[in-house]
Amino acid sequence: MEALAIIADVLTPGNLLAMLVGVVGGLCIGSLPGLTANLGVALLLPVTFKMDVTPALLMLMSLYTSAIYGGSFSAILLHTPGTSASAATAIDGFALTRKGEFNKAIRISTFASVTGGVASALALLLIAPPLSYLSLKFGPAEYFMLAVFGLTVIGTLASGNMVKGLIAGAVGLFLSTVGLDLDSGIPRYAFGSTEVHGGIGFVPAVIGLFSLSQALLMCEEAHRSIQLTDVIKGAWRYLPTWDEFRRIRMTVGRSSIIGIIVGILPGAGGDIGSWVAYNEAKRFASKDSEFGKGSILGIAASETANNATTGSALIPLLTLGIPGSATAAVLLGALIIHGLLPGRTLFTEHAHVTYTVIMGFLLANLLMGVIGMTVGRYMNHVTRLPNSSLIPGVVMLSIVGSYSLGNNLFDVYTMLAFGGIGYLMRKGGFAPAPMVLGLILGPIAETGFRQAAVLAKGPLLVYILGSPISMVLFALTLLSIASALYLEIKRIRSIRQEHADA
Amino acid sequence: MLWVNRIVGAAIIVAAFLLWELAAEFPADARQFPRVTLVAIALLSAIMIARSFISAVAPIGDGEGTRSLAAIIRPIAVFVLVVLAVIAMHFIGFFPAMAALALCLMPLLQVKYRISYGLACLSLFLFIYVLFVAFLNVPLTTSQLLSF
Repeated sequence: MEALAIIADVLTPGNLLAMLVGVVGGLCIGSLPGLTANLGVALLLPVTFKMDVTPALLMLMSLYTSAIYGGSFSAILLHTPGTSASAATAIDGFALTRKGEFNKAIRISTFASVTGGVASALALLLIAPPLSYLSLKFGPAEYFMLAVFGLTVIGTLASGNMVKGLIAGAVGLFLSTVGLDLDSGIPRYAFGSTEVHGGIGFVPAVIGLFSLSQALLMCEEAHRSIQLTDVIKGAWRYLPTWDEFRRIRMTVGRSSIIGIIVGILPGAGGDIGSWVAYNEAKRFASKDSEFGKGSILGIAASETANNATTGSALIPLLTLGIPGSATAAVLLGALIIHGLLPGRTLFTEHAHVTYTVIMGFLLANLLMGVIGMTVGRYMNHVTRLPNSSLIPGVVMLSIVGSYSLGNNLFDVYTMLAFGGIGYLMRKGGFAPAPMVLGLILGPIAETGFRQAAVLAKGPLLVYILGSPISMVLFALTLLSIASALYLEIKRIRSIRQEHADA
Repeated sequence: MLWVNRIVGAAIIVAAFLLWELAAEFPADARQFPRVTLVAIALLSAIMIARSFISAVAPIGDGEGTRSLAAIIRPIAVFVLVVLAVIAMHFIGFFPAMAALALCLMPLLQVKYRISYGLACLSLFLFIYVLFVAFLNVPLTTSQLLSF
């Protein structure tokens, strides 16, 4: 009966409208080169403040998955991925478009994205509830180590430069301490301002770091626009042909699994998933001479995997509070803002909300396919919008979004400050995602740290590393640093080699 | 870009030291965690500086966007205009300030199709009005000059 009640809840007009807004918004944002899923979720976050928790989360999650799919439109049409997760799609997708087979590329991309998204929603539904039991075994020391691990992983893997990623994360942790200390009531680093006593606003910071900084980056190439010739020949077909389905089914299945596994790994988002799946598809299709020149297998692999990471990135987020991707880090903030804490309680006390959101996420993936194919033939007009038209939109929505949080200009100034900082950070190679995560995980880390300091009878470090879970998290932290270091040095060497060869 | 890493790293270390000193005013419990993060920040910054001197592990290709100092002039100018528009919001109201911002951005962003740009801005204002003012009841700032 509960399952029926959840399905009925998903299908209420309010929730369906929320999904529709999220899906359409995500498609538009994803298809525009330069605008990312992070930016979309950050801009939409203030709009959801006054909404009920279920439609609010549904709207954000629908936007997330739809923006990843939307990235394929500009990748296929312009050879310019709308999001980094669609970079691999651009190779074969654009090659097909140049042959006048835009429709074929889009229908394969849509089918693959929907399948990957649905598979990841099912994985979320099946894996998250049992995994959430693990959170019951967490005490202060484990929560502290969890925050350190989450931050390390995002800092090392999600950004190109390990040390800079870690610095950004640590600065985020530090910034989370600004404001009144909840135990003593003493303001910390407020510099006489009473407006920061409540701490640095998470949402204005996110809007600044992701949205305004992106608009400023786009200013560097403000006049960029791309002209297209006719890309659609013949009648518009909505589904793959039987022959196409037979060719891609194994690739789609394999890429779904790859995407789900990669998505669960904290820090490894859609871009890594799509490249891994693309390379695997290439390996399996060694006899396909079309691979890289317009093969539907390449599109299917990349698009299945990047959407398969969306739902699975929410598995560590909902169960342990570790976001699987940068966008999931913003979603973690949304959960907390709406009064939901990751962990077992999401599947007990708030089970109805959680399962409604997961079921809604599954439905949103189907909705995304229907809308994507319906509007697909017109998307070439959207993707051609020049930066000069997009920049005022992003800037003004950032201003009004941050103002609407508390109807005060201080939030707007906070957003502006983080926008400026975010732009300079991105120019200097510091990824903003670890800083956002530091801001979110800061209070959890500090509470764990202070409680552990009270409970520890001997040295604090010995207490924190005293439990098996903490030890495992510590080992994983070291492992993530070591692997990131190895990958980075390998990348530097290969770049140097390329330079030497050139 | 290596010199940027060195300057930024040094600045962060100095800032961390100053913030460490400021923490001395807090109660013992309240200063522990910020100081732990400051130590981490300073150590990592030192590593970043050290790395920039070792050619085998010095980072390559950091940073997004165009790789020239001239390229950041336009974003900085846009940022200054946005800050001025937000300050003006307080005095002349949200929509007039944003309209002025949109006008000032036109030459800076090298807008070619002015009518399309104007229509896009008008649509944006309408969208903001419907969503934020009419639907979400956000009281956007209005002109203070009219109240005198």
